[in-house]
Amino acid sequence: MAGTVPAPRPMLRRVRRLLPPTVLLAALVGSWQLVVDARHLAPYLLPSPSRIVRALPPVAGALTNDAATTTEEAVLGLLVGAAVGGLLALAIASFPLVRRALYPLLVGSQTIPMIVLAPLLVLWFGYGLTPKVVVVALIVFFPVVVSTVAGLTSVDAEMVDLVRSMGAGRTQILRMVLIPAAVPAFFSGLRISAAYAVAGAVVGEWVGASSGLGLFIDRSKASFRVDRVFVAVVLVAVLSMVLFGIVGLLARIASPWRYAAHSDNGVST
Amino acid sequence: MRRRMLATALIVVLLAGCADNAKPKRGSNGRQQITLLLDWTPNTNHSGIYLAKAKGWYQKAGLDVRIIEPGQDSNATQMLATGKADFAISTEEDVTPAIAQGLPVVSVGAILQHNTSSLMALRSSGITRPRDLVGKKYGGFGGQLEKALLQTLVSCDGGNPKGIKYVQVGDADYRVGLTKHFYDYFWGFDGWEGIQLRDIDHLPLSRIPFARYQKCLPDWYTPLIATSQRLIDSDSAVVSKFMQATKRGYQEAIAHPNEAADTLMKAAPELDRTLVTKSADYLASHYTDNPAKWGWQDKAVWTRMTAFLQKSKVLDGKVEVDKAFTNRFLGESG
Repeated sequence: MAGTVPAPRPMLRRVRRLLPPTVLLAALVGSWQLVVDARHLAPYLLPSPSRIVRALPPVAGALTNDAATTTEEAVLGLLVGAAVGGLLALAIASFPLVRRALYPLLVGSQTIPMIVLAPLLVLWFGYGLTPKVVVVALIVFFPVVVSTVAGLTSVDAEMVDLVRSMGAGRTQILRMVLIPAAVPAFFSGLRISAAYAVAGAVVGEWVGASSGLGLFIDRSKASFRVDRVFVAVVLVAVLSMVLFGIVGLLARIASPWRYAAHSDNGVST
Repeated sequence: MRRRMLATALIVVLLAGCADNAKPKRGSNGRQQITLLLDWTPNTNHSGIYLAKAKGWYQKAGLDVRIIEPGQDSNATQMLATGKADFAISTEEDVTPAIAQGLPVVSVGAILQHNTSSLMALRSSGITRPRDLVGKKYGGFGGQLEKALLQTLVSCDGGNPKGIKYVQVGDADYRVGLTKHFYDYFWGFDGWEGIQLRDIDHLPLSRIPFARYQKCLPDWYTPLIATSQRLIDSDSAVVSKFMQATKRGYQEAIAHPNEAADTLMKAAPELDRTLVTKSADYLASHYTDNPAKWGWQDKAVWTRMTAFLQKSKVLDGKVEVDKAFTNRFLGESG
């Protein structure tokens, strides 16, 4: 520590960034506890935070198992959705006809409520992993497509012309100019998706599963354990945040030039 | 309702083109692979199945049984008809209309000998008998059978059925609904909701058991175990093996309710142990009066309920009750 000046700065920055949400969360949880205690609310109406915490240890084993299943579904769905979304975006940005034909249909596809679609997916794919991955992928691909198309089409036309004048072909332009330029946009779409992926997997599990957080919630509800439902809900939120963070990290790794330019003046996204 | 009928019609069409062999496949261990679809999340009235599985009685009979939970929207009869499940937990009110629609499903065993449903209300509502329901709000799923039952019950007790009010509540916590007065009463099972609300949450509960009004209402089999006619035709031995191992499981659940509760908790640790233990105790004395005859179904029960379903328009079309159920897979002394 002694004599090194730059070390405390990122520390300080991190504290400054984490402090407001932590204080807000503590205040919310604290007043929740106070309201439940003061008004003697029945635990089935609204369990107190302390009750929810106490509900965790006895089911920790089952919960770990169920969380692993849901995480697997969410990550696989996210990967499939990202791949499909990225490829669709490339096709849409490269071929005007595809854009005109496909884009409206993609927007239309987002108006079908997943709760209607999910039971059909079970009839087609059964009760295994597949229908859950499909549900997640269907939720996840759309923000990726929209964001990546925007990234691809906002590339500086002069840049493309310059590379072309130097003799680059279509694939080379794609590889050297378009894709690098669209990577940040792709990841910002994927980050939005990552926030929804876990909840999507839970919806997929509600129409039939043999393990997973959706099943955990269903079984807890069926045996009147509202406190355990809350435990699972908190876990869904935590997993979503972790996934969100990981995608953010991947974005930094995939487009280091973008963050390297900023890191000197302390801006982070 | 219409959506389900459309889906059923589609499946009938699909079935017409299907190959008739519904014989379950054999796994690498030589045992036949059987899929059983539950009607809900695992609960105590599935105990016999979980016991038979845990004790290895299915394996001994040459069966590998996979248990599947249906989630929110169970369509057991469709899954049986399409061969996605070999056996399913269902009810008389689901099996009969499915048969009328042309789905080849058959009930092969009653899990509970009598219907253990009740209407449940808080004592403060003043509800003690069916005619008290007039002017009170019923919280339920909005199904035709619910309306028919309530109307029959109320008019049978001298009330005006037009005075019943319905609130569609779907999948909600009844404790909240009753105590917050969203509605006044609901339909629950004595061995599950009844135990939770009265014995665990200590709510002052008033109940109208359907069984007390047998003069007005039919008794019926809910839940029961169903299979498809195609499985019976192509491999009736597997149906016998499954049902006899299952019967042994239920006999065990009757003799040792504590063990039944432990086994269920091991399979579904997310459930509440207190509720499961108390419920297993309750069911042990309600599965059947005679354990040797567990699963046995009475033609008179099917006939009366089928007539009731027809009269109340839940059932559209004719059903031969002899084809709707059979006792032939329950083995000796059955």
